[in-house]
Amino acid sequence: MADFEPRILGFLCNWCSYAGADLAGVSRMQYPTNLRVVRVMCSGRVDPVVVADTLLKGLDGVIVTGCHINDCHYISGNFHTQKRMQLLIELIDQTPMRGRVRLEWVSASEGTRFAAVMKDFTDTIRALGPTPLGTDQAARTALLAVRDTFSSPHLRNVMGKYFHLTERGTVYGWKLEPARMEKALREVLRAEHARALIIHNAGTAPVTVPRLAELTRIPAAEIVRHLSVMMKQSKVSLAGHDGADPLFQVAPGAGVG
Amino acid sequence: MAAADKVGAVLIIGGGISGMQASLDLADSGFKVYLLDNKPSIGGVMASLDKTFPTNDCSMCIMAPKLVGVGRHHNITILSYSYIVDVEGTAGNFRVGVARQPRRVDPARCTGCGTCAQECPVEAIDEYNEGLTERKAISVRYPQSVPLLYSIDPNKCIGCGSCENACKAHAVVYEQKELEQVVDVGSIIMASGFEPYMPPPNNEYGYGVYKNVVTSMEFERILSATGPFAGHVLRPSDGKIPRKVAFIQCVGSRDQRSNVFCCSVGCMYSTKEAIIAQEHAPGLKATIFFMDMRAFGKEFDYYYKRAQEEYGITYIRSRVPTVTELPDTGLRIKYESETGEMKSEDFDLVVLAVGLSPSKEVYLLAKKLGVKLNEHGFAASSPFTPLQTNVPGIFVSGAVVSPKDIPDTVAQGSGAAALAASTVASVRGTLAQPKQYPPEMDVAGQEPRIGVFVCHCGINIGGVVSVPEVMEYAKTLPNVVFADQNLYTCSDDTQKRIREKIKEHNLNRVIVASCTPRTHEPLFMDTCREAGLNPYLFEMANIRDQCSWVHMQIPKKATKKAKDLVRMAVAKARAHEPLQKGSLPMKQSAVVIGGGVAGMTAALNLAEQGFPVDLVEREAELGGNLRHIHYLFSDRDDPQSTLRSLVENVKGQKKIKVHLKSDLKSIEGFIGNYKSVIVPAADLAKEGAAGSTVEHGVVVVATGANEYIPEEYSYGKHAGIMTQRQLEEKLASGKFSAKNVVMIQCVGSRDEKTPTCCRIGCGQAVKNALRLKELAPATNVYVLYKDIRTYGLNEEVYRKAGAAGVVFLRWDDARKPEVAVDKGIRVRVKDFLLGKDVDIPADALVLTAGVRPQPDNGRLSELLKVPLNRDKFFLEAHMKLRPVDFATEGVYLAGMAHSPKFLDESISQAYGAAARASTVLSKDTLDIEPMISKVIDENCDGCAYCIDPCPYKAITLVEYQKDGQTKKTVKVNEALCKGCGCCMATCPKKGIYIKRFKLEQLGAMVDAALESPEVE
Repeated sequence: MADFEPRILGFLCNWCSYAGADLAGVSRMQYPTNLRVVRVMCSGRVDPVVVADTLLKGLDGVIVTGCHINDCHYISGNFHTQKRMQLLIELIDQTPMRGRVRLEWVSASEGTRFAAVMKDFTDTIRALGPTPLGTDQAARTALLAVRDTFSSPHLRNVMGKYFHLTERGTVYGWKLEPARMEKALREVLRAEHARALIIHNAGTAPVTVPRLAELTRIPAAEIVRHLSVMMKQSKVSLAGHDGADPLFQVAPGAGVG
Repeated sequence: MAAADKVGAVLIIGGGISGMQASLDLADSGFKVYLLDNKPSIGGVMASLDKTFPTNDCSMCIMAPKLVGVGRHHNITILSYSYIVDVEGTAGNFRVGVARQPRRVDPARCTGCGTCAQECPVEAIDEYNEGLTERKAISVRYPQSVPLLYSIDPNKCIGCGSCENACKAHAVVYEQKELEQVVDVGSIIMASGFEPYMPPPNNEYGYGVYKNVVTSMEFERILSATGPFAGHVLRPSDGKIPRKVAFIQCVGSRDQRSNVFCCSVGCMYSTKEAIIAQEHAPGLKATIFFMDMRAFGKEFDYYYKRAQEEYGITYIRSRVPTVTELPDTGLRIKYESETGEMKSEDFDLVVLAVGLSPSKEVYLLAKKLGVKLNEHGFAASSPFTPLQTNVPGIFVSGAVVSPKDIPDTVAQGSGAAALAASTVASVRGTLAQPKQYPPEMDVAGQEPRIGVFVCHCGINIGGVVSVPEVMEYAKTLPNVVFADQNLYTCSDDTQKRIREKIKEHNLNRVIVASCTPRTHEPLFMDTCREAGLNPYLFEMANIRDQCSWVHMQIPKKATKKAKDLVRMAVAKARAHEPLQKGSLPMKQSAVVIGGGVAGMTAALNLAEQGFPVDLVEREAELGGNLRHIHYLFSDRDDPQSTLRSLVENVKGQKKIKVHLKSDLKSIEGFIGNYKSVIVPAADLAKEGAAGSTVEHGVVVVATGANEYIPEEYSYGKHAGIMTQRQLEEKLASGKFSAKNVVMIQCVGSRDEKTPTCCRIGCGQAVKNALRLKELAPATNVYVLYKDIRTYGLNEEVYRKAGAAGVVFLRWDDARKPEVAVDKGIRVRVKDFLLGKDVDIPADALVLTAGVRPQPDNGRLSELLKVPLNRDKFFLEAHMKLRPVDFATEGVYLAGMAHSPKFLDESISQAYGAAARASTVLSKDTLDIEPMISKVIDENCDGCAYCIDPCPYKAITLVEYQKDGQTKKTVKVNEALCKGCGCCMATCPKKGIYIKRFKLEQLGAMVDAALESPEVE
């Protein structure tokens, strides 16, 4: 493990973080060579699905950096980043990929901070070791479920509207209280994640509710409710019985990947 | 003067934020600009600031795009390290002698790589860091300097020759002499700024003697991540983290011995520095010793409140006579409290909140230009002509006029640009020419043929990364048909080589592996264009700032990383497509909403610049609030006669069409192409009311604000109770007499319902109080106040009022004044100094009523799709640097619609809005940046999820007929989209993407990053 050199990808926004990385260079702040940078104009365009895909491709860690809140060159782009990444990291941290995604704000004048953040993240990933995806099927399944959660149109819709509804206002004219927004968002996230977990854990053969509960660690009662919705969406169908337990079959292609 | 004699160029003196703004506005409006600065680089004071109030924005982050914009603009020539020798000529045609001080470095050769400074053995005091650290004898002022050219400090250089030896570009020229040149310009803007006040020797606070007494500018650097301690709050005497930090306000301000005026910014910058210090060093406690808290600007009171409630910063209303040092280098502050007690408290660090003094050079400069200064040393101006000097064709902006904060400075920068432009509008476009390029090669559908140019950057890259190895590696990558290595890829000779190689090898993609695209991508893209290659087929790999410089000790790993970065760039470039700037026809005319002084000023300037204007006023006559102003601080000004001539000018201006008793009913379209319906104001609510339709390119919102109608203090219950405006009307008409007059400040401002300051109330009160004293010296005038906020040069009027015998008594929220009305009026207030209540019988009670936004702002904000702030005033694009723009391009803002302000501030903003508008109106077509969103209609199902996340409201849902069915899809307004990509990260169907940052390009880069063989 001592020889392990983590492969880290960074999505840096052009206006603050990329400039901060340049300033680290101008100031000759030294940090490990493991980071590979993909420059984007705004961190608000970093899709959680892209981050998950990057991990699925085999990178050991992904870091997303943007302007500090209120400094966004595009007014509100990083509000979106903050919400999306916060949720993504929450889900990632429930998987064996825990700790491999990070969000940081680095301004154009924080060269020192950029170097420190990159050193720290590299150390973190080095301590975590190589990505387990190659050997640990459960890790891959869990990550696929996270990826699919963030592919969900509902979740993307609600995440995208977070800033609009709480800062600009709803269709009724008033602003949605952040607590209510957060609650609505959490409900969508929880449901979509549970359904993605069901899809990716079910396998190709029909499966019972208790088995799904065991695989996903979601209470059976909740599984039943999700299956009911998923049947309406034609994502699962009833496929016979195993004794008293009905068998459910996930439709081919129900998951995105 | 005949147009033929006029010169379509402008000289701007001073490269601070005001001068930079004026330069960009003028250069974007078709004028050649010379931007002169006496320092080796532009940026001014703002380049030294850490954060800015009240948003705590990082100063460099928000300023850098403007810096780079100025540095790269093909119509702006920067004359850095230069000064004015002499000026001849008149408005429209000035001939200016300029001398350039020797840098001892050839600007044509220096690439700013910094190797010289690494080699230089001699250290000098770092002025940029306020002397708290050292720089080299050959240096740049700050890392992001524009122009990024080194210069040798002749006072420090020992002539050892090390830098010349180190410089691979042969840029060091020790024997360089001062260079004189002549520039011909049509108008001149003086934007030479201010100087932070420097306490003299033997000052009462021990500055210069006690190490831990620092100025606010020094503390600003201490807080900065690029400062002497990398953003750690350390005290200079021993490097310890201070636990208790004190700020002493008004050092070199409001003081007979130094500057009598108020610096306008100290209260807010100390609040900011206190907040930032507490954030940087947990456990640190800040205390601010002040006289009046002058949080008068937009949203400032919210900030002041947060500082107290959220951060627990202590504010002590007091006067501080002395600071003494303690044996442990701590400091003891002796202060006199408001109740007159002498107290003392010990601190670890003391920050002197120094004032803004006129710069020393301004005397010499003003003399050469023939510009008059006032008794303080600021450029003399008057409220109606705040940006004009006594010399026609020479204008002023920013802190050279009076102390002011950044947004007011920026607004004035734009404002002076508008005036400079109107002087030479007839020769617009004669000197500023669009660059000519050869026709573009058609490379569509061709297999990529990539050329890679790897830069040594002297030894900056080559000293760490093996450049030949990277070049050889590049040749092995797919589609790479040519690779090269260059000593300096950015030098003129390499540019020529790149152009030749494009032709020789039929390259249809170019990659430069060197420094950062943030500064150099535009240069290389331009080189491609000069060779007939579409510039969007260019890509960069940052192997210096983000590789060789940050991995200096591990050359092997750095070389490997450089290869990876080149491979990733190749992967991205393979998927590049030629992109074309779009172009839309422009309607070169404006609609100005609001016929007050701001609206009229903006309309007149635009008309004088040659653009037709429709001016819409709801009332039956023009003039707005100015109709109620009868005298100003000085007797020289006669507001009503000035108003009459202003209205005459507007009515006599052929290019302005005035719509009285009218309002904007609807508006559709976007920048360059608006269609508005103007209806009689009375018919606004009527469906289908007849009106006139106007097509125009831009909108200026100048709808003003209103005086609050008080509900407090028995207003309306006694004939002797009135507002300041009513008092002013009575005084002007000679219908006022009273023996005892009491004024109460902050009526309907700074209270629970309206937490913000009205900005103008203290000025109104001292103006009217002084007028009362002048008309009848025996009148007793009492002003009951919370803080006297006569900021800037208005402090003088406050001082005069005090000297004339006006009595000022303070109250606070715990004890508001009480008013009792029967036959007469009695006012009870607590006198803090006496410590007891006093009863004042009043013949007249004057309420200084606050300012209220127009009730119609909500409707207008929806119509124009621009936001309001929490106080229902219009919210500009950026509170610091875009004070008269909206985030929606093509819509501008001026006057009280933005927030309460004085006449001169409204007028400055109005000129500013006109300048911003003319950057658009001066073009007959509108360029559309191609790196923006594009919809893939086959994938889009019209779910509309992308609409709300868009910060620019650039996306709309549309329906059309496809195969006999109605299909929904979204449409991107190319004039509004800025290419952030929030839409792309929301779309669940891959139905929208950002050109040049396509999903498959990001994917290809990730894949390329993974192809990397394991590190040896």
